[in-house]
Amino acid sequence: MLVLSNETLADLRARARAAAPAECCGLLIGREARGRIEVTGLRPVSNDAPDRYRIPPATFIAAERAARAVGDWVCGSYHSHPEDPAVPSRTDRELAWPGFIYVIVAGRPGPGDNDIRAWRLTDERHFSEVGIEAAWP
Amino acid sequence: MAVTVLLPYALREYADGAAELTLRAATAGEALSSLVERYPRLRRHLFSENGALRGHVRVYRNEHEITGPEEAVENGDTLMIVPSIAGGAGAASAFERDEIQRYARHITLPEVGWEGQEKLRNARVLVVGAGGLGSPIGLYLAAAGVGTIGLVDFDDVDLSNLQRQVMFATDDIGRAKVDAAKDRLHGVNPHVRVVTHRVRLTSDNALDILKDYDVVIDGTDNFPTRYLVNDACVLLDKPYVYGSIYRFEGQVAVFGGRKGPCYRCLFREPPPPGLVPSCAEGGVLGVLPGIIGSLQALEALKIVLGTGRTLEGRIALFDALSFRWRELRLARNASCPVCGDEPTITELIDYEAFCGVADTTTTETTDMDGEITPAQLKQRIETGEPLQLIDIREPFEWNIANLGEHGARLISLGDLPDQMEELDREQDIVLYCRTGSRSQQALEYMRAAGFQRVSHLRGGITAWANEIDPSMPTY
Repeated sequence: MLVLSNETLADLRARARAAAPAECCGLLIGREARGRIEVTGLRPVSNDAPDRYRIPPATFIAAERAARAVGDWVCGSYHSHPEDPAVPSRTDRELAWPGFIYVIVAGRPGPGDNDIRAWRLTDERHFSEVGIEAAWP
Repeated sequence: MAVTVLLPYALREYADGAAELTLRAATAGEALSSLVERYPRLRRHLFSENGALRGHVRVYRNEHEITGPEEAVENGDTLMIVPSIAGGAGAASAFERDEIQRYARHITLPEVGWEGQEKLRNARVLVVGAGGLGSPIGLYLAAAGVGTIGLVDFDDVDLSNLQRQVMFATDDIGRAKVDAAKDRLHGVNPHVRVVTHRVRLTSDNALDILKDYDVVIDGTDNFPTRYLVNDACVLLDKPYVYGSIYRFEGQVAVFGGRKGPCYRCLFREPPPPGLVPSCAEGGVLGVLPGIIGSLQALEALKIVLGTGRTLEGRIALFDALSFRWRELRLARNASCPVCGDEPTITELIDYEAFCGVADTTTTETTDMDGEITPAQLKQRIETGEPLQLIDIREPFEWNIANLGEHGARLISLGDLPDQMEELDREQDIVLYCRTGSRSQQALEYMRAAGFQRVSHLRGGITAWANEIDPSMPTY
């Protein structure tokens, strides 16, 4: 289970909208608590491509160092699919790390679908969905 | 030298949860080797088969990336394993292993291939009406791997559906059609999402339902819904795959959204109610909706794939008895009220009223002008006062069920102009048909001809069967 505050969820939606037609992207900073992962912050990264994103190593290192200093760490990434549902693409799967959480924000969610969904790669390199719990604020 | 290795969160589960550890090593390569010796499950994530560091793994010593495994490390150095984090919508969703096998015959086609199969997976197609046309449409869309299939239908499965509605089984009788269909489609392909809308499509809900889909297929057989779907598709700029069947004839067309042509370019207004009977009234050969519905599914797949030439701008007509296909060109009508240059219809209207169809689904007992409810008719019959009860349906319909035991006689709608003079103008006349639609038309005709004491049975013999005589078969 991934815990995201309503504020962070709203922030993700706003970033996806603002970046369109490019994909927004960034790192998720979080911590483990009671068997769940709580996202404590986002580390946005600029991107201008509509169909791919890449986090520069320097950004990862800076984010990881800053997070570790307060007992958190980089627990995954977020990005948007401006024209697609919040489901991992083949590119996402090929480039994914097992263990990390991949949050996708849909520009065009399927009927009845959540616009923000979280995924984690299994050892067999298939994505399984991670439930999102919205927390106040 | 004592160096600290920092592990990213992604790799910790392969290192018994460790976030960092201190090792003794002289080079970066030594430090990594001793790391994977301690945690063997890490090896395949960091090194490829030939022992080289994997391409998407980078190692930083303090602030700089190492030049190679031979780079020397100093006491107190920090080695950070930096995962490359990337992705993006790029190619569409990854396929599971069994999906690759399932869609192999598609992927083999150059016109479909991986790219096409992914388009199908990402497509959202709405099927309005889960009946004779909706059955093959739903089954083929699901089998083809259309990722999201929406179904709109408010009805339940009835025994009389099974002659042509191949999506349903005998065990489904009495179930909501959308629920039975969802189970069936998941049985065909568990990878597709079936979204059910158990409602009657109306001007109030149509835009809200249609807006989330890429293609809309109409599988209903009534004019109000057809005009409603057409207008909504133009307003929302969605491709609309039209199909209709009547007895032994079928039609298929694709309408192009806002740019037209649309159904109204072809038929600006519906025929008067009752003139064209529904399938229930007119009958339909069971396999015909299978043919027409399959063609609608074909056109929807072509629209999604962007392959080939769709029926846009054409209408195909099929006569099953003579086995003859005809194709007509269909041009956008510049004066079309919805897709024309100066549209007069800019929002959805009341389609029941537009098509002149009285709502025969309610059974309130209010005495509308010229209408008599089943209960009122029963009471009227029981008083024994003279009454001319006229069945204006076709003879085959009379043979299914009739009110002959209550004194009804058959004068089919087409014979009414010739035979109505045989009726006694001074005595009450009650007309009935199957649902009250044709009898309403007959009522107006007779009144125009000077008959004063004429009324018609609201809801027709179907309402009579439902409310008065449940033993009577309905059709």
